[in-house]
Amino acid sequence: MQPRPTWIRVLEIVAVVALLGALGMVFFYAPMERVMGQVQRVFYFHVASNWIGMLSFAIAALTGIAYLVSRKEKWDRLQVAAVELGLVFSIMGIISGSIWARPIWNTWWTWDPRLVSVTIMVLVYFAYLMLRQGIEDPERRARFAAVYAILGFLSVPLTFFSIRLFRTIHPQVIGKGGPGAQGTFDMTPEMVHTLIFSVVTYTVLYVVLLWHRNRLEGLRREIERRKARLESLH
Amino acid sequence: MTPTAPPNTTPFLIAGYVVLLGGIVLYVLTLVLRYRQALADRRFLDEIERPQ
Repeated sequence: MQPRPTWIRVLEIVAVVALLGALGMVFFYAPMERVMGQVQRVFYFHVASNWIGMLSFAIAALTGIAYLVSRKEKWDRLQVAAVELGLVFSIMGIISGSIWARPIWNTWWTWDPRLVSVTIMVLVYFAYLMLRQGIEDPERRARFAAVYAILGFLSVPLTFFSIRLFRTIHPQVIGKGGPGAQGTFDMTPEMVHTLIFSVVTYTVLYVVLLWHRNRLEGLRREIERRKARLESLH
Repeated sequence: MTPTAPPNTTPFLIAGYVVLLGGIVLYVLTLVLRYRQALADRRFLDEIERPQ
């Protein structure tokens, strides 16, 4: 089992301190948006959460390429960890977005291009986890998962650019939203600082969680191998 | 013209952060539980594999 190196211990502390700092900035440093009121403060962690979801799926695709090139099991292990974390953060992004939308759009959910594309993205990666379970042979499973993670990544740019390509009510963080965008606001410098700090904080937290999930995956595979060996002896 | 006060959307703010922070806490908790379970499984295998 991989012992916890010093850098991960340091990052754990940094992540907790930064998370508290980001919360402080969200509630005490960033000003309240005048039209939406307090709920706009969901924005900072909502964007950070979705950023991590997409980053994680990008890492899954890169590990897929790395596996196909090297055939090393460590890339497959990291890929499972990245997909699982990507799903967790994307789902938190969807739910927090829905809560933010309720007072602004007057509905919890609407079949808007951004909401549809992010739902498709999440379903694509849910399918990844389910389909993996159906393949017994570890090498075949890893090969299939690598190809799937690369192809599945197509859903990520589709989600990211959906608010630029289609007519949507979802606001844009970078640049002005489309003519139908509802909930758009001009960011003050304090809001920009808070957003950047939240995104950096989530990224540090993500690195820590990915390392731990990867270690757990290594431990589980070691157990599976040992169980299989014992079963073959009896 | 007098400026209008922003709407009271605080309950939605609280709900949003309950999801965003609660989700992270829940995930960390599942990691800890799964890790403990895996360590227990490994200890069990160590016991079985130990030469009699």
